[in-house]
Amino acid sequence: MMSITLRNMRAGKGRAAFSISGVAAASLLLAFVLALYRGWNDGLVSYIDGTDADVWVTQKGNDSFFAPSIIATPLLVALQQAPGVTSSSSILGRRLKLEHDGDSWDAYLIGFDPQGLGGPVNVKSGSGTPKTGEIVIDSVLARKSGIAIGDEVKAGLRQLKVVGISSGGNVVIAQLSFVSKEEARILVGFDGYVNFALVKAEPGRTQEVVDDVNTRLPGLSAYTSESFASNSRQVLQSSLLPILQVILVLSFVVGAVVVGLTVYTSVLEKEREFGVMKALGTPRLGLARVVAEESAIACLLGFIVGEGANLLASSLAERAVPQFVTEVKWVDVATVFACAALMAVVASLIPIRRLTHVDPLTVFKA
Amino acid sequence: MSDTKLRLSNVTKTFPVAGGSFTALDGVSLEVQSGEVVAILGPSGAGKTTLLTIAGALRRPTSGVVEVAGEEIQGLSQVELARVRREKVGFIFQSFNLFQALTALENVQYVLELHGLRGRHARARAQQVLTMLGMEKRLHQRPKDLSGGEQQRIAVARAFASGGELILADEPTANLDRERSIGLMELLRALSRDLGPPILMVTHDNRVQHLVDRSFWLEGGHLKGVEPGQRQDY
Repeated sequence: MMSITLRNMRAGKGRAAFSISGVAAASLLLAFVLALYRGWNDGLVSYIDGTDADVWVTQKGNDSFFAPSIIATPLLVALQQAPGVTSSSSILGRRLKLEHDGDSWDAYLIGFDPQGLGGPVNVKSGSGTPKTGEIVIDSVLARKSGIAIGDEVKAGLRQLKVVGISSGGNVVIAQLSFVSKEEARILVGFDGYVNFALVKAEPGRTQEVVDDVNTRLPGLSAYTSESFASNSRQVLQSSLLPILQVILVLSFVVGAVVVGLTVYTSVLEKEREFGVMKALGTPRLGLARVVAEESAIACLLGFIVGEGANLLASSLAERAVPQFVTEVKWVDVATVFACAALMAVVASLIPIRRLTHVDPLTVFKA
Repeated sequence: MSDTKLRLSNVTKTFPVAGGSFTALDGVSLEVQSGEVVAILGPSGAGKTTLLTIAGALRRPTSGVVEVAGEEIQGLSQVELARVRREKVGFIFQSFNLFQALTALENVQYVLELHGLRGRHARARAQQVLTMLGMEKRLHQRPKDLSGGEQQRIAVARAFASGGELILADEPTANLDRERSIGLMELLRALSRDLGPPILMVTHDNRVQHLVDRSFWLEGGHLKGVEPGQRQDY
């Protein structure tokens, strides 16, 4: 069927452009925030997942990567002897500043055993097994700082040579950098303690190891790698999600209001034409369709423009601010599309209601 | 099928006004047959438009019987009234009331699609009717690019294209000069004769009296016939 809506929108290009821009801006914001959230979320979890540990062990009561955890090393012996454990490693972690050429950057330093678990998960260039006096930095840190392999950075009182660059260690507040455990002990400054233990379990015995540690070793808490990642993600989500949700709701409202107002104005301006349609016997559904189509077209085009702008904005943002790691997932594209569709519905409600008040008898006024 | 396309029997229409009611139509009876052109004349405020809106199923009468192409409308719902208008009535408005965003062809196509004709069939039929009215070179023009006379022709095409059984015209010559008025009336007569639906028009323009089959005078809500050859002036 011929679309009177398309003709109306073509005749009122300015208003249509305004309407589409409103939805595009809202879609861009929705898509960008979601992409940013995914990037941060996955950046954190990719390290925990990538360590290849089956079980993460922390100080009793701690349940995430972000909670301070101190484990006395004698407990590691008991852990190693627990039934179902094939091997265990430990890491030392601490937030500190890395200095280079007069600038400094926050980094989360992890000391690990080169033969064990907990090292860099994805070495992009150079070595992934730093020796004493060496460091592997995250690619996001490398991009934002300009530090390259071969450069020297200062960590505390130590001068460390960059021997490798890894990815997957962007945890929002800092990027993971890796040193040997000996180097970490020098930097952290205390013996006899580690922060986390990472356990490989015999096949099919992961939960058994977790239960055994939790019941038999006082002072330790054990989690499957999945639940530890989930808990850590939860910490991030509990602090960031409310903010993101507010932004998402505001974007949605702005988009719906812009489209709703422009469509409503369009109905007011074309009240006489809607009166003519009524006089000619256009069914109510047909009238509502004209309004709903205008909202839907504006929202669909706005969604397409907004998603396209998001790809561009994400790429530009990552270049300008490397820790802005974004990730576009199909599920998020679908979410933004669903939001745009919902915007179209919400934006149509009041204009359609207005149509019921249009009097077809107005067409007899000269 | 009956030849009577419009029957009004003792129709009364009153409107509430402050402190009482106003009677716009008072016991009006009228029949319009296929192929004839009937004019309702009368001064402003006589109730001409009220009569037209009732005949066109846009309003229900307060009392009396209104039959449009065989269907009584006084008890119908708004949805059913819209169906009657869509299926049985074609309108020609004083100010044309064309859709400004649509071309001449699309304006006519719109009512055909309301009738269920789809896509190229609707387009072909619209083109055929407009060509019949001499508008074949203006098919793709928008109303703002057309003269008043041309816009009126599109309005006429729209009214007749849908194949309705009754055409109602509100002051169809009001915006036209004498020559164009005569041309339009001749066109309406020819269309009614060739295509069948009768035309009921309300007008101030007493020049049309000798160009219609029958004319009536409406004043104070009362309708009376005007004898052929008897010119009613006001």
